[in-house]
Amino acid sequence: MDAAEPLQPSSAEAYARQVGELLDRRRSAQARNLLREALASFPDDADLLLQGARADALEDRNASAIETLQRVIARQPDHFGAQAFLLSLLTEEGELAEAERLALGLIGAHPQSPDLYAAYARVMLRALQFPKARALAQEALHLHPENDFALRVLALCDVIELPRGTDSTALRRLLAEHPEDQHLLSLVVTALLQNGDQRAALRGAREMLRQHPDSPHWLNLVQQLSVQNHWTMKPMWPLQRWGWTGSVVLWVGGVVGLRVLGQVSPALAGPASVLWLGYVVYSWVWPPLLRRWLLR
Amino acid sequence: MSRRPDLLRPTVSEPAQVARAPYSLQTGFLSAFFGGPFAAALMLGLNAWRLKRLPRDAAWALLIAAAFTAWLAFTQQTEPGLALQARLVELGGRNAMSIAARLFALLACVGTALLHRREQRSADLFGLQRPNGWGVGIALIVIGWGASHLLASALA
Amino acid sequence: MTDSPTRQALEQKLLQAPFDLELRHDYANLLLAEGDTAAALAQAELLGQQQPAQARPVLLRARILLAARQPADALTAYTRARTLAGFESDDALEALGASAQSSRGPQLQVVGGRAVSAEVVAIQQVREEKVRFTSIVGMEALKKTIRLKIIEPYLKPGLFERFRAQSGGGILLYGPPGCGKTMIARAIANECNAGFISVGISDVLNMWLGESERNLASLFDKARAEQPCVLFFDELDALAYSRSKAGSASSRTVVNEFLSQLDGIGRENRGLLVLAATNMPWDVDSAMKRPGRFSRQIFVPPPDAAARQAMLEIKLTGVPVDGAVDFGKLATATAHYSGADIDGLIELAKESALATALEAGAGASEHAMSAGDFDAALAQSQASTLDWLRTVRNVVKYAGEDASYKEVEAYLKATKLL
Repeated sequence: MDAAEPLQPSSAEAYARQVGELLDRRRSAQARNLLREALASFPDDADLLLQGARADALEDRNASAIETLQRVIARQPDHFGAQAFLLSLLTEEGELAEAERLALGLIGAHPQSPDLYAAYARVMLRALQFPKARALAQEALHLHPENDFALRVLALCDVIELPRGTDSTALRRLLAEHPEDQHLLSLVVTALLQNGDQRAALRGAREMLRQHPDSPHWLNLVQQLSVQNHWTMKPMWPLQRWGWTGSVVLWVGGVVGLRVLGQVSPALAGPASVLWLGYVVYSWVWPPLLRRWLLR
Repeated sequence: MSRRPDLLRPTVSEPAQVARAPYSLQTGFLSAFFGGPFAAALMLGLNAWRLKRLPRDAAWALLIAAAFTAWLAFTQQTEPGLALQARLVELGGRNAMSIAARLFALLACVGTALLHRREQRSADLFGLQRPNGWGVGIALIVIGWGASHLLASALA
Repeated sequence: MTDSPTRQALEQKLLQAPFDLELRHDYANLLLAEGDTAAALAQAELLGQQQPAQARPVLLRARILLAARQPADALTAYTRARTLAGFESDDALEALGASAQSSRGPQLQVVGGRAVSAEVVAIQQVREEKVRFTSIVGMEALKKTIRLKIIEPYLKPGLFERFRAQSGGGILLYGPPGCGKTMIARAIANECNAGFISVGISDVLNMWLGESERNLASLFDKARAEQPCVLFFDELDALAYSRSKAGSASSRTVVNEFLSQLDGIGRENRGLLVLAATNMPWDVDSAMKRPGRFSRQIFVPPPDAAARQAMLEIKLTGVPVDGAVDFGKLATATAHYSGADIDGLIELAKESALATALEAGAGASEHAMSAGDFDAALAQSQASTLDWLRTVRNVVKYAGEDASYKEVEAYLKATKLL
């Protein structure tokens, strides 16, 4: 192990690092106590305030975090960490006009930074500007071919844009390097759902729930997929696989098929109508009933 | 210096330019099923407006409305059209024309779903708040059905 | 014993200002001076709960225990007070300590009596009351599991080797917060007659680059030097936070160092028993739970009815309680309550009793806590462990394909939460 490198003498920095370590481990309460102590001595320290914003963001208090970061930037317009974090929060909150302005300003100041291009790509993706998002991600990769952030954004673009059944090269590359990365696994589950692979998506979602038992998102998804994968839902397969398009095809098939059957074999038309109508009723009524029963 | 300076021009500089989550596919299909092709066209227009791509998609919405109007005019006012209508009724029963209209609306809806496929997927992926489809859906059904019947009566 | 006018006056004041710690401290000292050590002890314990990081209440407790002719417990409390903020020496207790040291020889700070180097300053080497399994009431199934899986393999490795049964490696205690995982770890150390080193997150994490890993390595080296020794890591989820969730490289390098130390490559880990506790086992890096590391995980449930009843009886010692209060019924009514929840319940019941006494105009010392006070307290409190149990229930119900939470599942079924 290398010898310890002492930081430049600044207790505020040391505090900020320690708070950062606690926040990395989701120890918000301990981090806040330490932060309170630190801010008592260094109330205007930008790095400490940045950690305070991180603590707020961890507790889903993004508005408060944004306010803190804006204050830091007002005092120190060149504080990169605060600007970068603010960009990510604004994107998450959907404040895309402001996020874009910030991203363009940062890229102007740091034109060789692939992370900034990737961050801007993420803003564009969130703004549903798909060609521009992909172009920006590719620009980031041009600056640095292995940039992790850019690959993640590209993977997101692929999941959104690629036709069903098409693999994402970027996602595959990322998974090879980070096979247990939670964000990537989450993306994989989404891709599986979009490809209609309910069973695999359920397995993935269960794994995510084991990793995040307190996540309402994963709990709801596992519950939903558990219902959809129940054996009594097997007749719903065309609807699950092709969604509303499948519904349209079934409806058309039913109408046309029954009409033809009525002319070719009138005796069968009656029972076939009952069956078809029964299937329609089953498709609407059974899933919510099953859900209520399974989740009691 | 970037190879692509065009990428560094602002795209969503005003909040009003930012796309919003579209109505769900369920709202679209149910509106089209009960409201007919005009409802489907209106739904396409409404989603295009929310997604800030109305200039691009307005033509498709107008095409759907125009195609259905042309179909009604053809089947109500021309000889070949009337003959086709009779044949369809012979094959499909009294409700053949309304079934045909419904099919047209649903196919238009499938087209809309494909046109806005990326936006719909993004809305799901990013967990964007979808607008409530009930009020709009019922309004579109009423308007679409009403417009179809009025037009059919006028052309008959 | 009749109350002196000064005692009555203090009691009146306390009724009006129950959270005035100075006042309560004076009251406790008065009780001690009057020889009512049981009542004084109850007050000192209350002060200790309200100021857990302060030496003053623990010092007071030590003095009371000395007055109550319990020198061993007094000395233990005094030793603990040394490690807390605001410690001031007491002549009588110092003298007691000196005489105990000269007769017994080893230092008091470390369980097992081995001297500790001053180098690793951050380690918390605390020996509290000598907790053994006999001190833990109830929880028989858990104690049996621990004896079979941890203590006996440690004490009789040869026997387990003959049966080729698994022994060695680390053990992870997990469960809802406040259910005694740390206390059980101490009891294990005492049952194993081994040294005990307790490590918290602040003992490892350091603001200097590379120092967190160095601290961790030093802890293991120290524990190996002290063998047989129990090395206990509290809040393992913070120290070994899942690398797949961690955003920073530093948390990953700490986990890597942890894994390396557990594997004991090139080092001798045999006499070392590594225990850990966590409330969030799902946040612990998955590599930590593989064979040879914390492959054995033991669920520590909330105290069972027998344990809760014993807690109620012990905590209400010296407190006026109506004879009609049925501790057994109370224990049944407090299902899933942790130790801290029981404390909270008792405090609420006391407030209810005090409020009644004030309204009736009777002196506080004449009014005993009644069943009605406990019913009022029960209506206002609930088990804090339920959040944790419901979270894990979701995993068991919807995602429990592996054996990770089999014990929790059994507990949930037995208590009708599943």
